[in-house]
Amino acid sequence: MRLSIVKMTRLHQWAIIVIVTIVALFGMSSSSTASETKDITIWAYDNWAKAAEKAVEIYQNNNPNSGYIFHVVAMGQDDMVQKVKVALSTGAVDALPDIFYDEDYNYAEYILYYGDMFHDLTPYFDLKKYNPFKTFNVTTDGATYAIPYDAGTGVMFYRTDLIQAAGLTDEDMDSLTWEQFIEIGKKVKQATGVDMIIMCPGGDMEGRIIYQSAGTWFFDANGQENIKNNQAFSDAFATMKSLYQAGIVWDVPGWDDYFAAIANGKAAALVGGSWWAPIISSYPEQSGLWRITQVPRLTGSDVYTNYSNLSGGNWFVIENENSEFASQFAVEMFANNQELADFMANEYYIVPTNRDLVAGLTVLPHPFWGSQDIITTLCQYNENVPSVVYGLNAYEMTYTVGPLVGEYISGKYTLDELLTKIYEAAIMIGGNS
Amino acid sequence: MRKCQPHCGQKLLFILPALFIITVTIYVPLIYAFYLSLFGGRGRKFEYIGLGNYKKLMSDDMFLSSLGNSFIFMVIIVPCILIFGCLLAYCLWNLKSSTMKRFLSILFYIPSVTSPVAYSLFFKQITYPDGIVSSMLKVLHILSEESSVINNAAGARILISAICVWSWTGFYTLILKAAIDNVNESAIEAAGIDGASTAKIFRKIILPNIYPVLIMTCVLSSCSIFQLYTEVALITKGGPGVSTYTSALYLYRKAFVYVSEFGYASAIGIEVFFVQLFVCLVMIIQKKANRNET
Repeated sequence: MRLSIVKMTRLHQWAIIVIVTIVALFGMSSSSTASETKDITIWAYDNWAKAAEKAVEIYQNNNPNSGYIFHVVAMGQDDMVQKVKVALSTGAVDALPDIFYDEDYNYAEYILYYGDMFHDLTPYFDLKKYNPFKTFNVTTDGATYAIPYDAGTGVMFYRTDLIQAAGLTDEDMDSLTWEQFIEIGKKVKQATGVDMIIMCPGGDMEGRIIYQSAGTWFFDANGQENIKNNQAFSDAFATMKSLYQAGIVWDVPGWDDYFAAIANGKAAALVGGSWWAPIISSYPEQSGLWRITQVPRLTGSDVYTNYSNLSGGNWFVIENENSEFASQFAVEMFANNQELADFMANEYYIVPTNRDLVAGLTVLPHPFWGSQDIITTLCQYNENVPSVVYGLNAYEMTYTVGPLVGEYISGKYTLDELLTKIYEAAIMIGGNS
Repeated sequence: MRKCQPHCGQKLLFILPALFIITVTIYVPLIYAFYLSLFGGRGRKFEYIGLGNYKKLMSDDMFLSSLGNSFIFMVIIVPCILIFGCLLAYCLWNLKSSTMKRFLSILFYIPSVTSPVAYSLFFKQITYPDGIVSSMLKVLHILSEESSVINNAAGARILISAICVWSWTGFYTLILKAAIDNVNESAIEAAGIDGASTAKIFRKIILPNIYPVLIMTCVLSSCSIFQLYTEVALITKGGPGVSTYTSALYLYRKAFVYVSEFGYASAIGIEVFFVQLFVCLVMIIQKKANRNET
């Protein structure tokens, strides 16, 4: 018995020696491989992760011997932003990817507070080729710190079958004012019993579309509050309340509740960013029923338009030992590659904001939208979107204003009280800058 | 001079790993959070401002609303947990079949080990405007045709409270049942022989005996309410308005969603910690006062 233990122990020793040797040999071979290649990590979420994957595929096909290994990490938007912010605030460059995608709203925070951790992309591409409204949120002090990518073009999606049931045509939905929209909504509800629009004041999605369509934002380009004596906000809030007073709103508690409302045909229209298009078209049973048109405009001023933007984002390159190559790759793919632009437009309705790419787009038919070419339409709308600087605090103002507007609509506040509360919130939030 | 007990060194040695882990994972972050709360600024631009963040919190409507909501939840949830927990524990204790006791104990405990994300999404589905709960309430004319459970402040608060009660009661039921198990059975038997009703036995013998555990239940469930995040973040996102906004949700947004203000977010955490401490102290003092009276 004693002998067998000794034998086993020796056997174990030999086994350990063999395993360690194998591991060491493989380790050496992998480290020698590592010295020849470098890793590029890209973080993105939702459909933009698909853009990154496609970009890598195209790049590797064109450059099979680039010497770089790409890792695309797809994660939830909240998770990604949290990881990025923690790494930036602790200065942990190693914890960051080489390239990542994020919304316009976060640009100012990243560059103002952590500018030294981002690669200056000014020399790599010509910003003049882009739709003007996109360029305002990627530059700081004359330098460009992100590659403008897509827009969340403000659009009204509507159910053409329900509009026709009310005796109206697609032409009747063109370039509406909100007053005209309300009148149409009443007709649709009378004819079909279905509400005209899905809304969630707490999420402030419709609100943000209206503010930018009027060429305004919570803060001006210098970061000063822009609420006081701003007629556009007053008109926007009053308009949102009048929609509810007309009884044509299918109210939802959160923005993800829109899905159920769309799936169950609870309303005839939705005002939102163009990123709703892939979501709406994911309901094949509703094929042919949906169209898009401009968002309705406020009345009372010539600066109010039918065009807007909700979100949209840019590609950022982190300053590290790979940043030179990462910048070249990101610009080659996300700023200039026509194949990628065509793929994203046709698969996910993510249209480029680079006018050269727009001009070269090959648009495939999308029967879901009937005979309407929504990709070209979105690109045309992008030419007219008013430019605003989102600056810092876009999210905080959104989360603050949304609930207040909800309470104004429910009658808790008057319009003046609402404006005062939002002004005070803007002072408090902006005062931190 | 007090002498060390036998094997004192060995005992300390056994305590050390746990002490080390608790210190590193709880006390050090707590102290660091307090230190961080003394700094203002955003991102990596910190500046020492003393108690400036705490002063600002006192005039921050969002924070005060979230704190108010926590107290509203506490007023609804804690009594419900105590009532249902006591009743279920007493029913369990009264059961003759030990198999049934074990089965029901497991059944009651299951919600406590269910993922909050999973059950939050489930409850969200059934309270949608078209969900089964909203539809039933519409049939009963409790809700208007255009509304849903989470579209109004009262409905949203009741829903969040109901979910917490459903999820947490099982855990406290088992604690309370263990407390009832420790009550002197001869006293209960004597009362029964003297003709006391079940309700009277529960009120006059069991409740006074499990009073310390009831206070502990109050303390623990109150603390959980101040940390309420998952259910609110997934179901109502603090809405409608700010009716279900909690301090934990505000803290998270201040740190990771809005322009990062780690000092301010830490101050929210520390402030909530002291509020919890205050609530706990009130309950413990109440307990001591009651003990002195008896």
